[in-house]
Amino acid sequence: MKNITQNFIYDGHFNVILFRIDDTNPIWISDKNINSIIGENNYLLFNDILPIMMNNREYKYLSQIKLNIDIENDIYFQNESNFHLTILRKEGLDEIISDNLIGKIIEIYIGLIDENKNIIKDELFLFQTCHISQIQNINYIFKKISFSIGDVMVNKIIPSDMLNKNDYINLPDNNIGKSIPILYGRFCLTDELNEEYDLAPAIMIDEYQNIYLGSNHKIYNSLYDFYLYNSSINRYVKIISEVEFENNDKAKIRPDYMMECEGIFRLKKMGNLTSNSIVERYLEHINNKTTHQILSQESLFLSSDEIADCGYLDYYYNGLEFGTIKIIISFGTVINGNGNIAGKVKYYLNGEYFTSSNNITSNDSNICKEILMDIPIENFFRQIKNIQFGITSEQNAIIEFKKMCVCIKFNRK
Amino acid sequence: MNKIFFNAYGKTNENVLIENIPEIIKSLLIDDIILMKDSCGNYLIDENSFITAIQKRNNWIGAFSLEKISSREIINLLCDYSDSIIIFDNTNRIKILTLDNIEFFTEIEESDIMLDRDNLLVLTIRKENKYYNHFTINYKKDYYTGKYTKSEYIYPEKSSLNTNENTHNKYGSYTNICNYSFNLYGDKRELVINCELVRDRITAVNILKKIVERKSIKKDIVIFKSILTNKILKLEIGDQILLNISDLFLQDKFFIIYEINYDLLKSIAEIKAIQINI
Repeated sequence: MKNITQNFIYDGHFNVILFRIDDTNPIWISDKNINSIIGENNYLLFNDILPIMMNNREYKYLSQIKLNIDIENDIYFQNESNFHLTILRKEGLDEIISDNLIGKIIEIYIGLIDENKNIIKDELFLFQTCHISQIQNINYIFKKISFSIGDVMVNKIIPSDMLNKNDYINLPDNNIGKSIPILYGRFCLTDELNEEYDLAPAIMIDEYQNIYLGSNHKIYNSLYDFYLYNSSINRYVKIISEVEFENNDKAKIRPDYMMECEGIFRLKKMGNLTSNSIVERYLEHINNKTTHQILSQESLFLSSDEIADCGYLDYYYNGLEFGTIKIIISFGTVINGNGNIAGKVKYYLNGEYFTSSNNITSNDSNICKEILMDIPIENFFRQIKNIQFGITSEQNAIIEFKKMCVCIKFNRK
Repeated sequence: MNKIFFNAYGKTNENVLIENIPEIIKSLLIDDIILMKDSCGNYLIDENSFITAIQKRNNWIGAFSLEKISSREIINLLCDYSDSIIIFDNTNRIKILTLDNIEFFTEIEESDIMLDRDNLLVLTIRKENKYYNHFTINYKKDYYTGKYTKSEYIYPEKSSLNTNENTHNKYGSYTNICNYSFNLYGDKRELVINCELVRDRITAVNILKKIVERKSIKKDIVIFKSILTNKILKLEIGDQILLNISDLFLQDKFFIIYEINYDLLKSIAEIKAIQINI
C-alpha cells in the first residue's frame, strides 16, 4: 500500500501532473501553469514544454505506466517497466535536458493547484520514482525522455569478482574468470559414522602448490575440516595434512605436495547376530542418525557359536596408492574364550584371508580400540582390488560389539 | 585436478549466521548486488517489510554456495521458495511481501469498478492455466556430484506414483489438497523442484507445502478498470484485495495485485490480480 501524504486532497480528478528531475538545480516540468513550488529551492520550472493540445486535439505526452510482476509464470521479482514523456523542444532546453541526465531520478507527482497557482511540494502525492534511461531528440519539435523502474537496478551477475592471473599467478587456466563462491548457511559434517557429508566447494588458485581458496566468508577453524572427493569410491575423504588459514575471511588450504587423506567407512551390514530385533534397530540407526540414543544403550553380541565365517562385513575399497588401514571398534563387555583371547580381526584381501596380530581380549572391554592392520604398507593399495573386514571370536568367548568403522589413510597427489 | 570441499559457514551479520531466507535476500541485495542508497545514505530497502518477512519465515533456512549467477535468478528462486515477492514501491525502495499476509487487505466494492457503455462492470474473471498434483522436492545438493541427496514428496492417495502405503498420507491436509486437485482435473500433473538452496528437511517441507497450496488448484484471475480515486491510487503491486461483488462467487477469495496499468492522463487504472487462497 502506497503512503499518501496526509495533506493530499484528491477529488478523483487531480488537476496537475508534475515531473521532477533530481539535478543540482532540480528541474520541474508541469502540465499546468504554476507560479512557484513551495518547499523547493533553486529549481528550474517549465510550464510550457508539455504538448497538451496541438492542432485542436489532445496530445498524449505521457505513455501508459505498466507495473507488473508475473506471478502466473513463476516470476516473483517485479519486471522492468519502461515509459516515456514527450516534451517540446525550445531554445536553450537542449543544454538543460540532455544525456547528462541519464541515470538521474525522475519523480512523477500529482496534486492540486491552489488559487494562487502555487504548489506545495509536501502536499503532492509521489506517484512513482523512476530512473532516466534515455533522452532523444525525435525531430525538431519533440524530445523524448525515457525512464524505467524495476529489476534493471539490481540485475547483475554475482559474485562480481573474477579470478585472474594478475592476482593469482598460478591460477589454473580453467579457473580464470571464475569467482570465489558466495556462501550462505551452514555446511557441517556432524557425524562421520553416518556419512552425512555436507561440504562446501573451494576453488584452486595455485596449481603448483595445491593452494585452494574457500569462500568469501568464514570456515570452521580446524585442520580437519577439509575433504577430497575420491571418485573411485564415491566418498569424501578427510585431508589430514596441514591446512593454512590466511585470515578470518578467507581460508587457504595448502596441503603438502603429497596430500594425506583418511577415508572413514561405516559398518553397513552385520552377519549372524543373537537377535533379529537388534539387527533391525542397528540398521535403523545407520539410516537415521536421530536414533543415537537408542544405539548407545544397545549392544550387539557376537559369540563364537554364531560366527560361521569372517567376511560378513561388506566394506571394500578400490585403492591405487600407498597407505595404511586402521579399524576402530567400540566394544562393550569382552570375555575371553579359548587361548585367553576373545577374538581376532580378519580381513579378506584379493580372495585371501589374513588375520591381524592385534587380538581382541577382555582388556578391550568398554573401550574404543584402534587396530592398525599389520598389512604390507608398501604397494598395498596398488595390489588391492577389494578388501573385506570381519571379526572372529574364539570358542566360549563373548564380544559385546557396539560400533565399528574403518579408516584408510593414503597419500595422494 | 582435485576438488576440495570443506566444513564452513556463510555470511554473518554481527557474528550471527545469516540463514533465514528473506534475510539472505536482503544480504544479497546489500552486499553482493550493492544496492543504491538514498540521499540520507540509507539503502533503498523497505526495512519494515524485511523485518515482517523474516519473522513470518522464521524457520526457513537457506544454505548454498553460489558461483556466477544472475542476481535476478537467485532472488527469484529465493522468493519462490519463501512464498514471497519483491517489488519496487513508489519511492523506488525494494519491498518484500509474503504471499500469505492476508491480514492486510483492501476491499474493492462494485462502486470502485468502472462501468462500460452498457452499464456493466469493466471486470473479467478467468482461470489460471497451470496446475499440479504430484509434488517432489529434491534438496541438499552434493556439490561434487551435482546430485540431490534428499527428497520429500506430496502425492494424492489414489495415485500410481504412491507405492509406499505408509508414507503417502503423512502430510494430511496437503495430501488432501492433492487428492482434490487429482479428482477435480482427472489427470496427474507432476512438479519436481530441484531446490539447490536448501539443505535441511524442515525448510524443504515448508517450501513443498506452500507450493502445494499455490499450485495445486487453478486460481481465479480478475482484471478490472477503476477511476484513480484515493483508494485506487494507494494500491500497489503486491497488495492484497477482496472483491465485494455479488453473484460472482468471489467473496471468500483473496487476490494479490500483480499488474497495474496506469493511464494518468485519463485518470484510469487497469488492475490484474490473482487469487492466493484456496
